[in-house]
Amino acid sequence: MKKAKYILDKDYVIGEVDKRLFGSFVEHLRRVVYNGLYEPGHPLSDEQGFRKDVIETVQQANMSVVRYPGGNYVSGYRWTDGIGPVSKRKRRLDLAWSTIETNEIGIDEFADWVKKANVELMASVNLGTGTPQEAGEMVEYCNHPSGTYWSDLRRGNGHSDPFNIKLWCLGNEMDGEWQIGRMSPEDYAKKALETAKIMKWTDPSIELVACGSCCTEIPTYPDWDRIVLEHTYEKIEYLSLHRYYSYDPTHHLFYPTIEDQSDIAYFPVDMQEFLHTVISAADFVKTKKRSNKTINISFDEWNVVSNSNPAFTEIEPWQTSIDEGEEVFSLLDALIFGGILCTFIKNSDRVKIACQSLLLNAGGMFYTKKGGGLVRNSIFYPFQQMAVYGRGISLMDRVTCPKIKTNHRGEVPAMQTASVLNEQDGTLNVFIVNFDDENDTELTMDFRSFANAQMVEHMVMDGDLKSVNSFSEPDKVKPRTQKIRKVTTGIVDVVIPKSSWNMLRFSTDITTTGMTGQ
Amino acid sequence: MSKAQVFVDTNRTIAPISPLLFGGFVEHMGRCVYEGIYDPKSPNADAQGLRKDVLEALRDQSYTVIRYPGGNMLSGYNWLDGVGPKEQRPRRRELAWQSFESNQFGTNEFMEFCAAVNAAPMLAVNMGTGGIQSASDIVEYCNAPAGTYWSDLRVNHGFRTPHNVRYWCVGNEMDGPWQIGHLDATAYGNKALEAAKMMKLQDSTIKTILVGSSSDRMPTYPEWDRTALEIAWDHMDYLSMHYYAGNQENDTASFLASAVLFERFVDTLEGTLRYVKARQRSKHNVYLSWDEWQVWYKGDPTQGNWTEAPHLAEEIYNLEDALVVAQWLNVFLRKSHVLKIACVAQIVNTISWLQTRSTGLLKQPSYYAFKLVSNLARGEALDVLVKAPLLETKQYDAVPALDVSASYDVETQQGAIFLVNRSQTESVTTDILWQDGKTVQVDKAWQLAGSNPKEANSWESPNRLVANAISTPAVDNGRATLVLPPLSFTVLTTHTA
Repeated sequence: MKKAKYILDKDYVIGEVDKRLFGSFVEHLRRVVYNGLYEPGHPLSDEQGFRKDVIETVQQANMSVVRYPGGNYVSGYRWTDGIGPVSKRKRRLDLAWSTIETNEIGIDEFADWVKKANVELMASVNLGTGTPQEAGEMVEYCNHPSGTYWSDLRRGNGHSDPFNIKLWCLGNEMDGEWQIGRMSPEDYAKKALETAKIMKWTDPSIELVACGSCCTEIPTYPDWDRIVLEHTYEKIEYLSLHRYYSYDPTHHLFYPTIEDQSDIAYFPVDMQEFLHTVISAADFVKTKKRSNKTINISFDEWNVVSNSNPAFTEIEPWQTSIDEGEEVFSLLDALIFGGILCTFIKNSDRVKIACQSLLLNAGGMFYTKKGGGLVRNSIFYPFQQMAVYGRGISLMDRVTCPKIKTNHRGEVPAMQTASVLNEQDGTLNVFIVNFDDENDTELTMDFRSFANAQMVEHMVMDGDLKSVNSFSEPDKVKPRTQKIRKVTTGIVDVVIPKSSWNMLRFSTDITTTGMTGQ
Repeated sequence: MSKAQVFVDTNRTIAPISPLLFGGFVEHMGRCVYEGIYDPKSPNADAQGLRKDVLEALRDQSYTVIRYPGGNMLSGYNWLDGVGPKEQRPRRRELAWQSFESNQFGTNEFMEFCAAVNAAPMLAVNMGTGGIQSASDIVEYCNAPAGTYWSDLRVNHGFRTPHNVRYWCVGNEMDGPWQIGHLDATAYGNKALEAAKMMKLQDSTIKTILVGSSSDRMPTYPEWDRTALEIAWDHMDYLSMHYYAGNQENDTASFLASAVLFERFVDTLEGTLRYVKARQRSKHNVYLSWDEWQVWYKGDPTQGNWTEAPHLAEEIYNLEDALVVAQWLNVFLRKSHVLKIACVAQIVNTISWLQTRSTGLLKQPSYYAFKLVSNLARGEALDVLVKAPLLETKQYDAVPALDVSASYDVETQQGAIFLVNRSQTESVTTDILWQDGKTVQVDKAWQLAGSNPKEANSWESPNRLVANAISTPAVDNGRATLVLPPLSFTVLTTHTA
């Protein structure tokens, strides 16, 4: 058995975990909307055609925010196609994904869905083919109470109360050459700035997210981020980042990648570096502008790429209804997924929004069968545990652990952790990934200033790295309860199994922290 | 009386403390060289003309590296003026400080001086009036083995063994409109890149230092740094930063919170380095070299009016200045992961805590602050947590009353803690809590303190402010308590059993 050491002090505070870190993403893509969350005729669907089992699962995940409607889709989308009587809505070619869009679901329907799911809506406006004026009109349609053309149009469409959407994305991945209407960083920044002005004049209470780099391999990274911020700094609140991790060089999105399965423990390290670099760019611009304002990160697309990602399946173009195809995630995927979530929590002072991509079926934390049931993927569980127990104050733990040799990325730590103190009830919740696939690790946890800490729960998800959940075996990969260890004078030895995701929960007598440090 | 807690944990390390953080700077300005380190007419001079009493004081301060010969003077300096037979060296009008330069002290004398104080030389090449060829030539002159034109010239000048100068500044403050031959960032970046290429072709083992911003108040900051780094990244090892602190507004509370500004300056440049590294897709690292830093604002003349070795910038340093210096050193430790070189400007007479007369020396209060930290900070810097009462300041909002750094050397199991109490009125009863469970003992303690921030030493009262040994606090169960008086700098050394 290998050994590792963990120390924690209540006063080494990173920051409050923003509840928006536990978000997801709904795009008009494959089976996310149609034959996904929307399936009229399904026995579990409500009067609007929304599957209730999907809504229930979203609620169980304790999800906070959902981004909509794209994605690449948004850059060719006329949002007005999705409002008004459904029977009169236009059928359009969706150029981003080569399907036919029936527009049965639009902003009105999705605003109803988020209400039912009890999540916040994060809306995107089209900065590909769309104009600043159209973006402003959408804000007016969604948020203005009444008495104007657009707000009264919304009322006429059945929503007398405004949606009050607070969070808006200024386009999507406008740095990617695959994007409809791709621009240079200067051109995007100028358009985003003018759009932001109109949107905020329409509703000054909204928060805006500008496009940052969609990955680190793109040649414009990180110039793009700096240039966009230099133009838009005073008008936006967040910079958007995207990243998908693939460990199969034959299966990658956007740009070729070199990593294989030996490299998975590197992904959280890469994420840390990505965040650190873009935050550095943001703070560089802050200094350059002599500004007191800080721009934070909205990591509004992220996930692991499994081999069953629908992007790797050829489909017949111009279909209106795709009946099959869902993404299945293994335990191995869940370890990476949990490691990335730990990295977000560790950067909770600057990462304020994160959207796992996408909600279901394509990259989803769960998947459905048309006319059938619903299965939770392995990645559902780290998300759920963190979304439920990872809220509070993120603390800077210090872990000394064995290293793993990777094929392409040198030696990296075998463990990733996040430690969150819930000040309300005094519970301390520690999340741990062990990427070592050969050795269990004995972790000596030293709670220092939490002298009276006692373990109340240890949940572990481990087993065969390739194991997945399926309709026949829906609970194959799922956390199980471990025996509780006694903490003596603030110290406890815990076995962290090889290839495992862990949540350890402790009661403490600390319900407030306050730090006046340097 | 207020209370504070300082948590020290040898597990929470920041990075190894670079020895080169305790460096100094010698410029041909005022009386730093002449009548400072080199004063053949003084009764205290040795055979080479170096002042023995100055050497001794500098050795006490344990300087590790000395930057030379400038400074603004560098940008009009021809290094050839300073080598060869002294009687043949030209007398020049030195434009930067409007002084006469006798050139009786030059590169070779500087090498002898460095050997005498046991510090590594850090030479600067002229990027103002100087070209890339001249920059390459001086590397050859200093570092190439005998057998070529320039190395043989060195041999002829009496130095058969190469000087092996490892650290090279590629110009000085080229972002400053005051600089002789000032350039914009792109022009400087291109020139510095070509100079560094040639210099490293001469000697691939040298480390090069790119000129960064002369202060965080430069209108071009931090754009200058980004632009120059993007051009020259792979050929540079350090980015230079300069800053002079001052209490021009006579706002002592803000002045005593200067660590906030120092840290911000480092943080921004650290971020700029990370940004450019990612942009260049580089595995190469560039670190920070804070190669001019000091308190300097009191208005002593900086123009020599065409005299030799004029009294320039001979700052009188008081207690508050010493406490700012102590914080500066604390910041060096706290930023030791990215800050690898620092040079106080300067080491004697000019903007210096050490003053000479032909027969004597005056050590100003900050002399002692530097001496304590440079001699005691060893091993790794620790991420110390401080909980202290907050003090309101005009410039930086609220800051903790204490500014603290700590070091721990795993090999010797010896540690040191450096504590500034920046409060002007309040003693702070401070609990130091060692959290790693090891048995700790405090070996020695020193304190530099006074009641008036403007208090200073003088030739008449040279020992008013010195670092006094104080009684060591007992450590009980990992806790020691001591009362830190207002306006004080306290240093403890420890060892673990």
